[in-house]
Amino acid sequence: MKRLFIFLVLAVLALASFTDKANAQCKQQLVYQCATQTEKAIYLRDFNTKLKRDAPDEETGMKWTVVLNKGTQYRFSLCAPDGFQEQVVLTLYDTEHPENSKPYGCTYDKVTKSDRKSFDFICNKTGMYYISIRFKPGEGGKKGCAVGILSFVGKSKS
Amino acid sequence: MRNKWLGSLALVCVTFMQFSCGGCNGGSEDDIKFIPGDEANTSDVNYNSEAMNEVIESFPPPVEMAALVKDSGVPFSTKYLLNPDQVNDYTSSFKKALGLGILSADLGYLNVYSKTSQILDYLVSIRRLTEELKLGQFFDFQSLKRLATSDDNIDSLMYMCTQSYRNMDEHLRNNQRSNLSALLVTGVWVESLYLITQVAKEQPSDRLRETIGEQKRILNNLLPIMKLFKNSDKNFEELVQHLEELKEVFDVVKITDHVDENPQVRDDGVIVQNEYSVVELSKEELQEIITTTEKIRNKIVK
Repeated sequence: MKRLFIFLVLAVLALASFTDKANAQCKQQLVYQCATQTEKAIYLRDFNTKLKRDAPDEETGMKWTVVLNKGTQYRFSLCAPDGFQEQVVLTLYDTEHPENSKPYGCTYDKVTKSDRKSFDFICNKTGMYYISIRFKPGEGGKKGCAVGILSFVGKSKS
Repeated sequence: MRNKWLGSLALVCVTFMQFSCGGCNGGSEDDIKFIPGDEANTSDVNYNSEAMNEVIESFPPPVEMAALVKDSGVPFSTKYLLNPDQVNDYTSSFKKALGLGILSADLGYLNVYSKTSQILDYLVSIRRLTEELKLGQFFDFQSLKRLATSDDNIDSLMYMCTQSYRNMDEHLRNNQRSNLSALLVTGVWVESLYLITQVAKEQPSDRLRETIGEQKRILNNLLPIMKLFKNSDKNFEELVQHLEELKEVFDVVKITDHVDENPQVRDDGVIVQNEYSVVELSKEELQEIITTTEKIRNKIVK
């Protein structure tokens, strides 16, 4: 009976952790909506992540590497389920433009405290860049998900 | 009685986990489907795999170079594409993975130009390769076929093709089949380079020359990855030799980085990178890259 009890406890714990993981990332329907709302831009890639912050200074979210080509205008869009979008920020940066000090661009302006759903970036140097999706400073307290979309706008005219 | 009860509990657990699995990496049942036993014949290289996966993952998708070519005003032509029936002769996983990358790049080209009538032949060949590589669960042929036969759905078709490619690549990397993932991205890159060099051969422009020259940086990231697998297979050894030959002709390309003091944000809100690279590549050097790319690509697809 004791062994049965231990088995039950372990099974419940395993299921609890599994369902937590299963609900982690955004559903494909949201990814599709976000990817096809980029006007005439061509969808290239998505960045899908769960977000959960237990402590105020805890780093959350994810970063990804992405190769961008010179002479191309890209669009970076951020989508999240209702009520969660205003809590998250997508940032484009590299080693010379650190995420926290001077990134190339992000969906949240720390100075004006305003959000934008997307931004366009003209790449002038082929290479590796980073995309991150994280909670805004001071935000977070419930768990959720967010998805970033990289799309091709066109050859840069600049 | 106890055994019966435990059996029922196990069944409930398994059923519950199967339902929950629909949410893994996406959330619903129409997302990625996992097929047990797909990890057979693994041959990963146990060397800094996290960094390697990061580099592989960062590579541009099959559609990007084609979009750049179309945006340059270059008319569509099937002569740049591989005959999809050619992959029927591929017998090894090596050739199939490389072929899958090549056909994915060609499919991206057809998608960008909305050539839906020609897409079906490529979808059929890609389906064959994905099934033989045990990646069929990521390639929903029937849905893609339905989208391809309706001109109104080109955006959905492009989305689904790119997603399928990403899911296959991610699955390979997450299941100790990074060697095949590396071949997939190499196939895409070689075919994309072939496309852009062939276009530059016929319709040269400074913009295309610059884009080709900048591929030196991509190759310099790709080659170390492929070298990790060099000793695992004779085919890899041969492919690395081809890429090294390509590197030799790219080595003459001189790329220098500069910083512009102009403002970074345009009036329309577009952010312009204030660092920029300058590519120095003569007409003769470009011709050498075009010739070598053509030679290597045609060897690879044989």
